[in-house]
Parts: sequence; structure tokens; C-alpha cells
Amino acid sequence: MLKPSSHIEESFVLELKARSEAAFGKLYDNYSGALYGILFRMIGKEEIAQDALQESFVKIWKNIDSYDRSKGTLFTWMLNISRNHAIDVLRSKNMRQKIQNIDKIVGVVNKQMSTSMNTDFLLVKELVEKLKPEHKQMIELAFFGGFTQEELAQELNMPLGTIKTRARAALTELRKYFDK
Amino acid sequence: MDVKEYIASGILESYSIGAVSPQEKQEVECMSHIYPEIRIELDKIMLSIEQLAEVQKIIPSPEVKNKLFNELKNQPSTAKIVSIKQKNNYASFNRLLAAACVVLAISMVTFYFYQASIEVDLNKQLEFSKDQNLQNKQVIESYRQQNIAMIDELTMFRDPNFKTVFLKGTNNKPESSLAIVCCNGVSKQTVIAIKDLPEPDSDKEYQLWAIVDGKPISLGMIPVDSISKGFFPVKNVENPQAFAITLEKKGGVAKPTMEEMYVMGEI
Repeated sequence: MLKPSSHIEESFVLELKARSEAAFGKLYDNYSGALYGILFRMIGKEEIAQDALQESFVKIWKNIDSYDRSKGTLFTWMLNISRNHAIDVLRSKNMRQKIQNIDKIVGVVNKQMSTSMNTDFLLVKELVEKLKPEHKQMIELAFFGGFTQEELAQELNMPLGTIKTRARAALTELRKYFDK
Repeated sequence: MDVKEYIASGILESYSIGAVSPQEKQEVECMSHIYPEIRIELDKIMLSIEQLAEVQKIIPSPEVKNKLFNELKNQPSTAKIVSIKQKNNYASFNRLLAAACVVLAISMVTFYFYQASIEVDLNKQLEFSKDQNLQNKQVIESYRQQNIAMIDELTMFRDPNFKTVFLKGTNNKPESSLAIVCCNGVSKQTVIAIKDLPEPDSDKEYQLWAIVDGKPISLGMIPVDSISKGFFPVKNVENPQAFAITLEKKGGVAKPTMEEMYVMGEI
């Protein structure tokens, strides 16, 4: 696993802010896979997801000046941009998925992406399989689903607070495995 | 505020994936700034989201990178300057067409006035922009100052030598009373923030005490205008075991009045 973005040097962020193509290339090489994994799971169609990845990186390039290290890691900042972009894409193309039967982490990828799957995939599959069903659903919907939490609360007929605490419980559960 | 409850609500996770309202966003940023526990938890959450994203990664086709970098080359790095094109078509008029001459004369006059009015507009705009620029500079400067103060505070909270003590309301005083003391035995700094204390009568003042070897030592008076504001520095003592605040007559007293102790907290 590459080093987490919390350890990225200030000087690298400054290079990005100066729009250095070399720095941006490095950024792309390091994080495009992780972001594309999420975009693909949210969108479900390879071509649209790749466009969304490209557009997300254009937004990252344009808005890099507004990135503030004291508020969070570079990765979560890029993730927010990409997620919001994917939600917009899903909305505009009217291709929201039904909540039933989405098995994003394990299902979609198995069918369509068998060639470009990375070796870590088996690990995440194993991890997610170990989770309780409600935690699994929460990881899939809240983190990889193209839903805002308000929409989830409405669709699943649960109070927003429950969605939030469940998403936390699910992530805490996963953290146990990462920390091992 | 209960830090544990706040963390357990799941709002930090929602913040990390960007699923919060602008108000909640500001709240999390403020809370993580004040409470080191929240900051630490938030960092851990962001790391685990990154780890989760990393293990589920899918490598996109190399074409995407090529397309992306081609597109970036076309991105303007600064806003394009739009030039005002002036129309020059009066050059080709024919002397023999007198009627056309009249029309042309009229249009030239119109054009002259048009240009003049543009110039006035542009001058106005320039003045306005200058004003705006000055205002923006002032805003930036005030943000810069705020930022320096925040970074100072953040550096302080991130320093593991800083101990945070919550001073909570004592038995017979309002339960909501709360003050936070942070002290650093290595850099010999002590700061306090008064979160909530009842407004004192005009002849009274709050006095801060540190308990060292079981004895109270006065750390001075707390200005009324610092209540519900941020942190401010107070006198530092070596090896304090506890802190307390009592309500005393103006100017303070040598020994604390125990019945008037509002908040206290042990290290």
C-alpha cells in the first residue's frame, strides 16, 4: 500500500498549487486507482466512470488552491470532489440505481472488470464478507453508493442519525481489520 | 459538550466523505480545532477511508491519463483577458455616394459617443475594482491574522506535552459551567478558555486557582469580557494537580472562598 496522503509533504502541495504537471502526474498515478474504484462502483458503467474520473481530476486541478491541509487529507479532499461529481453525473443522466440488490464492492466488479482487478481486491472482498449485513450495506451505500445521506435515510426509511451512526459503526468495524 | 457523544454520532465520518451540510462542515472544523480528541479521531477516520479506498482500487485505462493531460494543457491558468474589438468598417466608404456619407457621418458621431461612454464606464469600473481590491486585501489580511492565531493554537493542541483539563460545575453551582485549561509542563505555558460561567455582579470577579501540593495558588483574575471567548494565557505554575475558579470580591483574595467555587477539574 502506498503511503497515506496525510504524510504528503507541504512542498508537494505547493507544487500542485503552482500547477506543476510533474506533480500532478504523480498525484494521478498514486490516487487515480482508488478514486476510479469508487467512481466505478458509484456509476457502474466503465465509459461514464472514466469520463467522470477525468472530469474529477480537471476539477482537482482547477480547485487545488482551495485545498487546506489543516482541514483534512489531500485524499479525502479529492474523494469529496469525485463523489460530488459522480452524484451530479448520476442525477443528470437519470441513472440512479435501485437500493435493492446492490452489491457494489463484490458484485459489479466481478462481472465486468475481471482483467483490471488488483490483488488487493481479494482482501477487500474478504473484509467486507466478514462484516455484519447492515454494516456491509452501510459501507456500500454510504461510502460507495451514489446517494447522499439524506436520500439514504429516506429510501431506507431510517432517521438520518441512524444512518450516520451505522456508517460510523461500519467503518469502525473495518478499521479493526486495517489496524491488524 | 460531550466529546465522546459527538464522535459517536458519526458526523466525523460524514464530514470525511463530504456528506454534511455547510453548517455541519463548519461545526466539525471548529470542534476538531478546539478538541484534540476530535482531531485525532478525524485523522484516523480519514486514514481508514483512504485505506478502504486503496484496497478497492481499480486501475483505469491509460487512455484516461493521456486525455486528462491533453485537456489540462487547454485549461487557462488565469482568466482570459477579453479584448474589446473596435469596428473599423468606415474606411471603405465611397465618396460618390453622398447619401451614404450622411449615414456614415451619423454613425461616426454615434460611434464616438458610444466609445466615450465606454471609456467612462471603464473608468468607473476601474475605480470600483480598485476599491474592491483594497477591501479584498483587508479581508485577506484579517484572515491571515486569524490563521496565524489558529495555527498557533493548533500547534499547541497537537503538542503531546499539553494536558487538557476540563473544569466542570461543582455541586451547588450551575451544571453547565465549564472552563478548559491547557498546560504544558515543558514549555511552561498555561492557557484557559471560559466556555460558560454566569455573569458576575459588578462588584465581583472570578479568580483562577491552581492546586499545588494540596495548596491553592492564585493564577489571577479572569476578565469578564473573556467569558465564552477563545483561549488566553494565564500565569504558569509547576506541577499543578488541579484547577478551580471561585467568585470573589473585585481584585481577588489571598485564599479561595470554598462555597463560591464554580468549577474545578483535576489533572
